[in-house]
Amino acid sequence: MADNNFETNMHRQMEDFKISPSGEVWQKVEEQLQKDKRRRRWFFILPITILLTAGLGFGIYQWGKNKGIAETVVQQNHNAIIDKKEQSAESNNPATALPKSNTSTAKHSIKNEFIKKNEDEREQQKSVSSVKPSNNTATQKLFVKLSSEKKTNTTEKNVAHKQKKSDDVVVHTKIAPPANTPVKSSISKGESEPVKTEIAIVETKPTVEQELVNNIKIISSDSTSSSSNTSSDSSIVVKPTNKKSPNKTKWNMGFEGGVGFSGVNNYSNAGFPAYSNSGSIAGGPGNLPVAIGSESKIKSAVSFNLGVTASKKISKQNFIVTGLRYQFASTKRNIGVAVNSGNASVQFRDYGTINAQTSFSGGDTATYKTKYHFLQVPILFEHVVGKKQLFSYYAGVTPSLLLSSNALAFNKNDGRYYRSAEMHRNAQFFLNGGFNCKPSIKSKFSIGPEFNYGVLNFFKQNGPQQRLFTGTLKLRWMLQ
Amino acid sequence: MRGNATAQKQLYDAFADTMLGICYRYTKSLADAEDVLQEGFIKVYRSLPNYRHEGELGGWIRTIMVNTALNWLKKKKEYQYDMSFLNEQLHPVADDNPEIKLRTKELAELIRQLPSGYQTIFNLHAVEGFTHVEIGKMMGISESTSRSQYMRARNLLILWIEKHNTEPQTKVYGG
Repeated sequence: MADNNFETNMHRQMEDFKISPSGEVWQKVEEQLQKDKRRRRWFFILPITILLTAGLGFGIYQWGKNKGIAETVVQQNHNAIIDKKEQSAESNNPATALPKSNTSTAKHSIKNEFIKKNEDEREQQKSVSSVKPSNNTATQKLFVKLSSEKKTNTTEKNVAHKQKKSDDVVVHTKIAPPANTPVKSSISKGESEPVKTEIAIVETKPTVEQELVNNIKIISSDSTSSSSNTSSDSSIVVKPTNKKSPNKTKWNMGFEGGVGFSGVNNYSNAGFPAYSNSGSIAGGPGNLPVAIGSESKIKSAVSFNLGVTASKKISKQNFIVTGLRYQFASTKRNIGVAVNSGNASVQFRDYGTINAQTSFSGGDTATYKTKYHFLQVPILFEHVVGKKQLFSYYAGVTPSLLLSSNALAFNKNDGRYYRSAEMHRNAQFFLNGGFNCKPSIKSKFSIGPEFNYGVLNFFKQNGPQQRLFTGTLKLRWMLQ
Repeated sequence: MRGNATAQKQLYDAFADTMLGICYRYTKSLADAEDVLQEGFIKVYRSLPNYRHEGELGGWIRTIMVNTALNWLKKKKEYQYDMSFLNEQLHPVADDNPEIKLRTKELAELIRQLPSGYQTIFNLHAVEGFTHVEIGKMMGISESTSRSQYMRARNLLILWIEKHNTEPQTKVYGG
């Protein structure tokens, strides 16, 4: 019990023990909390940034990959055509081909041997036999199947189709045997029908390549000796088929238009000192201000746009959208009476001297409708959502050229509104964003809201601080 | 609270003095105590969203401060030797129960003069009221070790208190 008293006394006494910390402790705590705050901010910003960057990077990567594959396939097929033509030429004249050719190298010899070997094999094999050529650049990765069949003419028969797997890409050609080395099928021994060799190049490629390779079909033709079925002249022609993957390789054009509202964020009263009534008007009806009034509120009014649009698919779900359009925007505000209809040189705030065509007194006796006319080139990144691809959202920037405007600038010097085109900033820049939805995946029409916000001040430096914004319900009609 | 600097400062002002008193008892210098206090308050602000409003806020903050002090002692190299305990036999319990005539500050200074291991266990048991089982879990030692260390600390402290009672105001303890 006595022991408990010791502990109890100790506890009671120590409970009241307090020491005031120095001010540095709170400063350090506060600094650490600020760091935490910044870290938390990054905690949110970083994943979003990473996601956006990854998405953009993936889109660009896919775009570049498709482009690269297309170029590679074209190059490979170009090489293939050259090789095949050389091979065919040599096959036409096998006796003279090697000696005549200055550039005849081991490569050509191997090719001839390859062809001869194939012919020999045709005699020995009833079914399709396979070899792997190593000298042909176009077929370095390809698997060549040779088949020998008894035929009565050179009617094209696609052997590869028989052997084709569901995901194989087949480029097939037929090479007639050289004239002086008639080949007979082992099946048709004793028969004199010419034997047609079919080379089926079977390749398993990823889907993207498959699509591109599918567009090129190598077929045989007797272009130099079409009159003779037994001719050894076998040339190869590459004919691009009409099948093209839509939207991925070309721009899809269309039209768009929207109707909505527009307004102005007016920061003019912020950051400007209260001006004394010291302004003067030279050339106007009077050198002294006729009325001092406060700036009226700018109200939203109608806006619309109309133009052409073009979109290009850069990956499965991503598009680049651009175009050219006319944008009309308007606002309303109350003003007083017209003071001057001629040119006036005005000391305007801290902007400097301006030449104003028209001025109005402050007040609310009339409603002034401000109109803005822009020519815009939106540059947007659009992402389609969902399997049905009925919904998409987009964002981007819109460089704009101000064609004309009758916007008024309020001068606190004398409480008047002035209209002066020289104060307007003609090069404008808007941030865009919006949504699109369409009734079906095949629909050419889509509709959705779009918002634009002016990044730059509508007036030039030191003028009133106003930023224009618009919101429209936009209808888009694409040609494809 | 998390993003409100004013509220954070108010909380700090309300509890900083008491909490520094706690930190002071576990450390050997005021600077160390302030380091623990700073670290403890940062933990408090970070953990506030997890506070369930069960019990007093002061008690919750006190627990955080004590845990912070223990972790701090474990991390500090100069205290690690003192904080390593041998599994000793129980020390005979002293029957002394001296009247504590010391002022709080003087008593706290006496506690701080104990070796770190004794000091910590004494604070946890005599002041904070933790059982030896709890102390054993907190410090990673056995219950018997905690008990024996506490008895050593207690005897030592009683000796000092008695000495102080007989020779008052002869020793000045620094912070």
